[in-house]
Amino acid sequence: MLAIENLTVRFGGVIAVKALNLTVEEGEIHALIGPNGAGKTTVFNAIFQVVPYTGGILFAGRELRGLPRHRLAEIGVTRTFQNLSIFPSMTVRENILVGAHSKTRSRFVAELFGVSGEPKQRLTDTLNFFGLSPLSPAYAAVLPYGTLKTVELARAFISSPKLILLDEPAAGIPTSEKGALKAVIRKMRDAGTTILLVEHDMELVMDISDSVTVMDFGEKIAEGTPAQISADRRVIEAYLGEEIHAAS
Amino acid sequence: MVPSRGRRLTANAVLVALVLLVPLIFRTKPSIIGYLNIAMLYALATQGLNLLMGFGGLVSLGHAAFMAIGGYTAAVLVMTYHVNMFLAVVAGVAGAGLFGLVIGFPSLRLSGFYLAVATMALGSSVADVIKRLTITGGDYGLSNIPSLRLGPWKLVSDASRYYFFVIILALVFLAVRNFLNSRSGRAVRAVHDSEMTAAAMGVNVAAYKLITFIFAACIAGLSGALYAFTISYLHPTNFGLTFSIGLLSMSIIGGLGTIIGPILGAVFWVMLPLIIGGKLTYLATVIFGLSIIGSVMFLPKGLSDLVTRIQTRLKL
Repeated sequence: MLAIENLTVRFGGVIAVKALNLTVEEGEIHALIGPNGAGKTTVFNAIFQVVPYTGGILFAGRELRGLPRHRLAEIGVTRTFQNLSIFPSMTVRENILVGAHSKTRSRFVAELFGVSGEPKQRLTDTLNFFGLSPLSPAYAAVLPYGTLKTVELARAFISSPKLILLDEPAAGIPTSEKGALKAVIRKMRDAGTTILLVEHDMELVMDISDSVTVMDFGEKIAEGTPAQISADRRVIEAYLGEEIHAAS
Repeated sequence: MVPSRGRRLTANAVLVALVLLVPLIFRTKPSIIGYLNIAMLYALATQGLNLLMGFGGLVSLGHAAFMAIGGYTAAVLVMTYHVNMFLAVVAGVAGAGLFGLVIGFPSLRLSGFYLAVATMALGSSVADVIKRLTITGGDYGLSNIPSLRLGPWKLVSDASRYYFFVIILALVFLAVRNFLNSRSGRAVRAVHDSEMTAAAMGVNVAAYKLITFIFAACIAGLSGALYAFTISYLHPTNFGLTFSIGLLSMSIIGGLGTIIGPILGAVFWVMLPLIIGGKLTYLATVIFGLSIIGSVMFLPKGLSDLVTRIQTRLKL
């Protein structure tokens, strides 16, 4: 689904990502983990053509280099953001509808007359999928953080993408809501979406991932199943002896 | 009590009735209607600016230039080339839109203060160019511009123009509202909130910035064209930086990012000197200044905040 080949990203003299090779298989939840500053979010930004890079990024066999940023949604790649990037001036419904932008077309004159129509079925399905229907008319600015995280997932999911990049979906989510988050991420995968996940919450990563890639100082130091990763000595060292338990 | 549909409908009906009765109420003072007509044209131009700044998050300190292009294009076409007035207005709108595209290009690279300066420079240069052209009457201005007509009817009286402008204003404002609630409008608002996120959702940020500029310019161009046939006189200095800042003030006092803000701001701007009146007219400038400060400090959504408060108080 996604093949990253020899990816290198430099910021001035700093090498943020160094010769990274990474393959995400279709239909899996693939976690990209590593200590702060390991270069995980930079990988996301390279995929989205936000930072200049060398090497290759292939999505479904297609080289992404040079593709305008807004075309990624159209070919089936969307994302969420590390510190939540919801449109505060919009309602939940409007936020999610922006996610459907690439799957709909504008007819300017119809829009002026208010008769352009909306992707109603798609919206209803998405709202139900994420349990957001009752909140649809609420303004995003008044909703709690955890709910907005779900809105962000829904916004990335409404376009039926083939691949979603999730940047720390569990950050700021209370422990009591983590179970629901895991369930919804699995549900997205089971609906046929491949997921590449950056996350610090090891319990969540080990529980839901099909495979894991570990980065440290811009380089890949390990990859494998959650069980293999949690037994890897280099991984344990990178986390300064922090213990990692695979969920049984 | 929960806001009821019935109460809201009644309130709207009363409001519409009042708007329609204004010419009768001020029958003995036609100048008031004339000023309200100007206020409506300013409201139109301000709505364009509001679309740009309030909803699109883009800055323009050259908005008066769009009015100038709309006005001069329409007036010159009618006076020199004897083009049908309706077509001339359409051409004025298109000309302003085209210039909107030109002035929109810096917005792809610049934002904030830098965009403000770039639009200011481009905007001010329009007035200077008009001043040096012969076809526009140069520094003498264009006078004796024919009066507004609608097909066979000449709209000479202030009251007839009033009704015409009310209809135009209502149509444009409805169109803007519909636009903002449509796919394109949401894209424009998304770009305002976060360009990176909007792009990740598939929104072509550059294209929507240009669309916003073109749309805003077209509305201002319409305002300028109607202004030319209403005032019958155009002078380049009327559309310089001062008036661009005037339009900006109207949108801030009225309430940036609200649909009714531009009407409130423009009426306030035009009517305040009249209300103060007489020898104290010069105080109007001071009051405007204080209003802007007050609005920024206490009413973040300008005068439209007052309307919202009244609505809440009356439970509408």
